[in-house]
Amino acid sequence: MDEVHTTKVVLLGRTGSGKTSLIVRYISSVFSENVKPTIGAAFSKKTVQLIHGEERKQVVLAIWDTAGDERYESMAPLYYRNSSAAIICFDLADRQSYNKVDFWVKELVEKVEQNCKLYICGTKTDLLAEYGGPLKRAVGPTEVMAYAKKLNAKFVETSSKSNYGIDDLFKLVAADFAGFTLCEAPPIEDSLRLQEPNQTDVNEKSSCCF
Amino acid sequence: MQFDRFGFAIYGNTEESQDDIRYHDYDEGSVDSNFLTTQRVWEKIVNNWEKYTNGSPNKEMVKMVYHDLVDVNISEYCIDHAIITLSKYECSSSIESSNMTAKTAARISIMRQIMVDIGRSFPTHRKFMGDLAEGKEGRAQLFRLLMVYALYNPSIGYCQGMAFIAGMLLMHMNEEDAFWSMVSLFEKSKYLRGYFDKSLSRIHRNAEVFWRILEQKMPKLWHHLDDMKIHPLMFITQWFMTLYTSLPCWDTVLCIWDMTLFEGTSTLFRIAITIMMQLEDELLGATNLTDLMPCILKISPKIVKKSKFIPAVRKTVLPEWEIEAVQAIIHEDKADEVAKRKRLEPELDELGSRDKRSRIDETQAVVTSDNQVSESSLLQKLAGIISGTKEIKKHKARRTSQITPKRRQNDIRRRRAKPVMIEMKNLGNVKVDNLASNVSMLNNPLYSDAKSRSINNQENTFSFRKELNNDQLFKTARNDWFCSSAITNSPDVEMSDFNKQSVRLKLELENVD
Repeated sequence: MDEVHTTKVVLLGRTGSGKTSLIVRYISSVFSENVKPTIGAAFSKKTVQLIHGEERKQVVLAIWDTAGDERYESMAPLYYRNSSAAIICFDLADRQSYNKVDFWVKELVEKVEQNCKLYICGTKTDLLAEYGGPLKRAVGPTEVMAYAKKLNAKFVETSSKSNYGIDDLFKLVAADFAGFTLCEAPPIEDSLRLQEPNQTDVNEKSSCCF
Repeated sequence: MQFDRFGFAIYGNTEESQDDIRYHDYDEGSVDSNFLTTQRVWEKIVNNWEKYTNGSPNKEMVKMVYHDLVDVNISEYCIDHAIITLSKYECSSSIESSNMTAKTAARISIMRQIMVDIGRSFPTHRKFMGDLAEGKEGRAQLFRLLMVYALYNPSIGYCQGMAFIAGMLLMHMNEEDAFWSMVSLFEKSKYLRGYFDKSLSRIHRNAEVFWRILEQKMPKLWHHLDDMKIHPLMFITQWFMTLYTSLPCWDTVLCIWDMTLFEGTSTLFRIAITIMMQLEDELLGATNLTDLMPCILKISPKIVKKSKFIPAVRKTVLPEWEIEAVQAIIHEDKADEVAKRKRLEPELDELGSRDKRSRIDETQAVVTSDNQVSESSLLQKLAGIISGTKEIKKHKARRTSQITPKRRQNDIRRRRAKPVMIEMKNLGNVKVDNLASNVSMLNNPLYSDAKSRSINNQENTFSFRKELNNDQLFKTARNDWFCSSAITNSPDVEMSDFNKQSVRLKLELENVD
């Protein structure tokens, strides 16, 4: 019988940064243009299987997706309190949404969520010119990585549209929670190669150490 | 592409259908005729719009803003492009490289936000979807409506959630009428006033009220939810702030709107309680938050199917006075807490302008530290309410069926005052003055206004009374109040929505002068 653990994960970030799309892609494996704005918050869960040598663990991710509108910020403590992980999303092509990351980091640090691991997630890689999209990067990866390093946070890049980096992100969250280490580096290394890895590539990366 | 009778796209078994929250299997029968009559009532309202808007605020001003927006051509056919452009402007303004004023920067920020949202409001409704002219024009209308409102009332601006309400209105009327309907929905205290303001004050208050009502009506479920540390804001925010447009059955949503327009926001509580009743077994069966939360946040069509749900709503008794009494109790408790804290920790005074985000934390801290005291006095107060209910039942039984409207109105006032009077007795001499002013507030639909004002400025409860004496305001409020109470309390048992609506309309027109 596998050990089952439940952990609370919260998604934060500016409105339109792709939090809900990220969840919809992860939970239902589809990309939808029809994601409605989140009012208040939404809740999803998914079980992640982790295998580490003889040890097997099941981690249930209880994910709170929050509203991006600034007026709903007063409700955010309901969702981030006692979270083991916070995924702070920003749109890679939108400088303003990157500026918002710092706001959430400060908020979490201020409210002493010391057990909450931080993940900074740059979204919508498919829209960037380097991946064949129409837009320019609004913030360079070295800048974000330096920032993440300072905070002891992890930085990943994802695309909900092309399903890039998302399973990896949540596997990473689950593995960190369970105290497992992934043998591969986090997906940021992929994004620094500046090319979109194909599907099988992603799947290989998501396996754990044996 | 196929659409159901309310204009929502039917995807069948395609990939998109997984993400489609709408349920298309409507109940047969009354729906069509109901829909038509609703439309007819709307038409009447729209035709008599002058009477409602009373010529002010200035229509010309709004027209001008509309034209400006159309001229800019920003809204019409290039939403993605507009978002990018606006983001760019927004950025440059923050870097201070341009001469943009703070006001312009704020407007651009709002514009961008609305742009981002209109593409995803009712994205499966034919009026707002796709690349055909209808969808583009629908989205453009939605944009103009929200943008003009943000300019028209800058103190509210734009808040996520508004787009669903504006969208619903656009499905039923033209752009300008939708605008004025939006104005009354957002600005009348009977409706959504305070829901979208900068601090979202009203929904926070509503959450507390709902929680206490649930505790009183369904203690078992309440304890179950409380044990799992569920906070009412986790689900009622979505329900209240989009007026239940997030429910899967659209015929039910329309019915809820009818009731809400007719009775005001007390309906929102009634619906919420009914949903909890329908979900009770399922929720009690869930042993952890991860199983429980999806039941509440993604309500299954089975639960809110019109033929089953609406009759259940009609059976749920939750009169307005009860909600208001609970509100008054919470208000009193808060005042007590503030007074207590002032005595204990005068230095806290300096934190008057404290960060709004810490509010939830602090409230909880206070509750735990004063747990025992507030619990016992709360019990006492609730006992007051419950005995009040009994009094009213007796009172109602004594009532003859032939009462003149005038008498009925007084009657209703007395009934509303009663629970508070009883509560006053229970409380002894504590703060009788304050309660007495609450009673006068309770008798008036302006109550919530006055309350928010008195929270902002504890010293200044008299400004409310001054306003009461202001003839115009009082008259409108009284008419409003009279119409709705006369119908809600009429001896005809189960009036259909259509009847209620048309009777109300008639009464309202009669009372305009």
